[in-house]
Amino acid sequence: MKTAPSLQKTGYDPERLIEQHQAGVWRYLRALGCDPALAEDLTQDVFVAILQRPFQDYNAAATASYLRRTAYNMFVTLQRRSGRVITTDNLEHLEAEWTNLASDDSGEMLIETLRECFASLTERAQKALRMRFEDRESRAKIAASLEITEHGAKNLMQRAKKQLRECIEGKLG
Amino acid sequence: MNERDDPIIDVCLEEFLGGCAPPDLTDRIMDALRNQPNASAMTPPVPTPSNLAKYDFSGEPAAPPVQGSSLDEIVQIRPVQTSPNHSAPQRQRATRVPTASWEAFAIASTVVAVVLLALTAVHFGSGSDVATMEEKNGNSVAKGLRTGKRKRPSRLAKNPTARQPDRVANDDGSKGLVVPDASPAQRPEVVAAGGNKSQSVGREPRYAVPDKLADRKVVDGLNTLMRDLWASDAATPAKPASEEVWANRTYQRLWRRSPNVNELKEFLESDAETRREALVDRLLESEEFLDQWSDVWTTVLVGRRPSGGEKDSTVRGGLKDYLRESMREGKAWDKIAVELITARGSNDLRAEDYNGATNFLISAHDDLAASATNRTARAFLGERLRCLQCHDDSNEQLSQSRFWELSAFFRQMKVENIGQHARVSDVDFKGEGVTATPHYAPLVFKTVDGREVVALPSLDGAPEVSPSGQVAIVNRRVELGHLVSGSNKLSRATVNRVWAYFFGYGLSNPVDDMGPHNEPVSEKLLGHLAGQFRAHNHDLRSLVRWVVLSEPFALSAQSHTSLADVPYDGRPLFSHYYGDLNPEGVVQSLTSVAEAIRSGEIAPHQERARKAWLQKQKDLPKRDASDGFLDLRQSLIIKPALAKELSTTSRGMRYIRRLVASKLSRSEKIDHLFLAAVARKPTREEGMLVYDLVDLNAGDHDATLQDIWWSLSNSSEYLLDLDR
Repeated sequence: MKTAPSLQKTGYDPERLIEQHQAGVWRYLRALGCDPALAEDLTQDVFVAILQRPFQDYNAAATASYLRRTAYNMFVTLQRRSGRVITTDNLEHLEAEWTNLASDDSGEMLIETLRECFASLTERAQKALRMRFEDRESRAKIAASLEITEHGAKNLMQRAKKQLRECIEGKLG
Repeated sequence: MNERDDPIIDVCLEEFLGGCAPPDLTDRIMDALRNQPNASAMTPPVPTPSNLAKYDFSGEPAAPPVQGSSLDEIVQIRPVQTSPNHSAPQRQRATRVPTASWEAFAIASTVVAVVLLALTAVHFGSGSDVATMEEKNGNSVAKGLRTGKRKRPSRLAKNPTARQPDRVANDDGSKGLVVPDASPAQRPEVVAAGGNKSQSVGREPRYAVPDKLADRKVVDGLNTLMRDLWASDAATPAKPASEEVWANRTYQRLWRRSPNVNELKEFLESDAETRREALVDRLLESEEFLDQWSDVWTTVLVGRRPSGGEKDSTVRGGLKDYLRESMREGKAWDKIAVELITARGSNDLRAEDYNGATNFLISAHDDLAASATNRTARAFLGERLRCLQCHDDSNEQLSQSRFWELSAFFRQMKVENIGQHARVSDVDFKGEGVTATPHYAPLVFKTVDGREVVALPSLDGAPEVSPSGQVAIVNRRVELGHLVSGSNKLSRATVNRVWAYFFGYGLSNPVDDMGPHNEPVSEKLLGHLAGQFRAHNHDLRSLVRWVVLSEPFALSAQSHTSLADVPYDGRPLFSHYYGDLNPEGVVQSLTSVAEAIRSGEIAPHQERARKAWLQKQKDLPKRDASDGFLDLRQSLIIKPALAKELSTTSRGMRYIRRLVASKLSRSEKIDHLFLAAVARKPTREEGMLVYDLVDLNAGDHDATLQDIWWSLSNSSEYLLDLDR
C-alpha cells in the first residue's frame, strides 16, 4: 500500500528541521550583509521555499549547504532588484569561509570560540570593540576615549579583528 | 560607521557583544507554510532513500540537497519579491479556489462578517493607511506603512483586518465595506455630489510650502545639511576639484559634452567670484540645455527605445518636443506632470488634435493600464508598484489595493491605434463586478488567495474621488493629475531623480523606490530641497542650479583612503564626486574634442556610435528601459570604441594635423590636447613622459600627438570623468 510514512519513523520533521538550521541560515545571511530584520525575512522565505517542494534530508551538512545556497540566491536576487552591485567573488569566498568555520553546527561553536578568543585580546582592543559593537559608538568617540586618532582607532579595531580571526581559525580550522 | 571588513567576525561580534542573536522563527515559518496556497501539497514529507520504492510521488521530483551542488542544480526558488510574470502561476492557482461552492460562500461570508464587525469598531480615517497630507519636518509619514526606522514585522497576515479594506465612500462620508456579491439592497448608495463633473475637493496642494528662499540661501542650506551628514557619519569630504574639472563636469551634465578649449579658457579668465554662477546661468538658458534635458526626461518617461515598431505607436520625438517647449516656456514641473497624465488627442503631427504629451501614455498602453500605472508611480511619485499588481508586499506592508486604486484612475482612458499613430481619449467606464453601476464603477482584482476585491480610484489618502465611471461626472485622469501635483511625493521624487542625474546616486536609492522602507541618506536634505522646489513653483532650472552650485558637486573625485563612502554599498555620502557618465554624454564629449560638432560632419558618426552602443546594450545585464541612468559599465564599453575610432579616423586625424600645423609651440600643443581631453594641463611627470614619446617617435610630431591623444582617451581619468 502506497502511503506516506509516519513522521516518527522516517523522513523529516519540518519543525525539527527549522529548529536545527534556522540559526545557521540567519547568521549566514547576516554575514552576507543583511540587517537582522531582513535576515529574518529571508530565513523565513528560504524555509518556505524548500519545504514547499519534496525535500530529502540526507544529513545535516548537506541540508545546511542546500539552505545556504537557497539563501544566497534569494539575497543576490534581492540585491539586484534593489539595483545594488554584487561582488560575487566576495560572496563565494565568504561561502567557503563559512563552510570552514560554522557550517557544522549553525555557528554555535564559532560564537563560543569567539568568546574565548576575545578574552585573549588586550584591554584596549576589548574596550574599542565593546564600544563599537555593544555601545554602537562612533569612531570619533572611540578614538577620544582611547586618546588616539580616528585612524588609529580604526587600525586598532582592524588588528583586533584580525587577531580574533587567527585565534578562531587556529581553534576551529 | 561602516567597517565591514571581516563580515563573519563582524556578525559574530554583533551577536556576542551586541546581543544580536538569531531569533526563533519556528512558529512564524510554520504559520507561513500553512498559509501558502498549496499548503496541502507540502505534506507528507518525503521518505528517506532506503524505502523510496514503496511510495508514489505524485509531486515534482525531489531536489536532493547535495553538498557543494552548483547553482544550476538548485531548483527554481520563489524570490522574495515576485515579478508579475512569476506571480502569474500563483494567480492561476488562486482562481482554482472553488468560490462557487456553498462551502466557500459560507466561509467567505463569515470572514466578511467578522471583518465588518471589526471595522465598525475601528476608525479608519480617510486613507488612514496611506500617506498623511502634510510633510512633518520634511518627513512624509505613511500610516499603516512602517514609520521611523525600518522594521520588518511578521509577514503573516494573522489578522485579516490588517489588510487594507475594500471601501467605498458612503454618502454620509463614512467608510464601509463593499461585499462583492452583496445584493443591491445591501450596497450603499453612492451619489455624486451635486452631479458635478468632479466630486474631488481640495485643489489646493496637500503639503506644506515653506518660505521661498533666495537661490544662495537654498544652496547654503544644502551645503550645511550635507556637512551635517558628513559629520554624523564621521566622513571627511574630499578636497574641492579644480576650476577646470568643475567646468568640465558642469558642461557634461548640462550640455552633455565637454567644453572646448576656448570655452574653458573664457571661463577661467572670467571673474573668479561670479564665474560659476554666470556659467550655470548661461548654460541653463541655452538651446543645448533644453535639447539635452528634454531628452533626459523623455528617457525617464518612455525609456530609451526608438519610436515606432510593429506594435508601438509611440513617437518619442513628439514627447521630446513637448517637453522641450514646456521647459522653454518655463512651465512648472507639476503642471507638466498634470499635462502628461491627462493628455488627450493624437500623436500624429498632421492631426488637428495633435498633442505630443500623449506619447507618454501611448507608450504605456495595455489592456489593464498596468504600464500606465507603473510608469506614473515611478516617474511622478518615486514608487515601484509592480509586484503589488499581483500580491501584497508584506515586507513593506503595501497592499495590492494600492496598485489597483491607482490603476482605477486610468480606466476611462482609451487609446486607439490609427495606422502608425494613436489617439487618446476618455470614455465612460462601466465598472466591473456585479455591483457596478454607472455611478459606481469599481474595478475588480483577485488576490493570491482567490478573493475578489473591488478598487476605486484613490491616492494616498487624498479627498475622495467620485466612484462614478462617467466622464461627465468625473474625469478620473484629471483628478489624478490634481492629486499628483498636490502631493509632496512629486517634488521629492523629482529632486531625487535630478540629484541622481548629477551624482549617479540619488539621496534615496533606487530613485524610483522611495518610501519609509527606503530612507534617504539625509531626510533633512531631501526635505529642504523638495520644499524649496515647491516654494519655487516646481522650477526645474532652479533645482538644477542649486545642485550644480552646491559643495558636493564641486568636490574632487579622489576620496581619502580612510573614507568608507562607497556609494554602491548602500549608503552614498557624496563626500567625494562619484562621476557617473551616461553614454550620450560620452559620445558628445568625444565629438566635441575633435571639433566635429561645429563642422556638422559628426552626425553620421554619432549615429554609428549610437547603433554600436545599442547593439552592445543587448548583451548587458537587464535594466528597465525607462531608467534614464545607465551604469558606468555601459559608459566604459562605448567610450574606448569611439575613442579609438576618433583617433584613427580621418576626422580625428584632421584635428591632430590641424594642431600639428598650427603655430603653437610644442608644449602649447600638448597642453591643448590635455585640455581638450581631460580639461587640465599635464603634470610635470606627464610632461616628461610626453618628451620621451617624442624621442621614441624620432621627432614625428604627428605620431606623438596621436599617441598622446590615444593615451588620454583611454585613461581612467577620461573614461571615468575623474580628476586626479
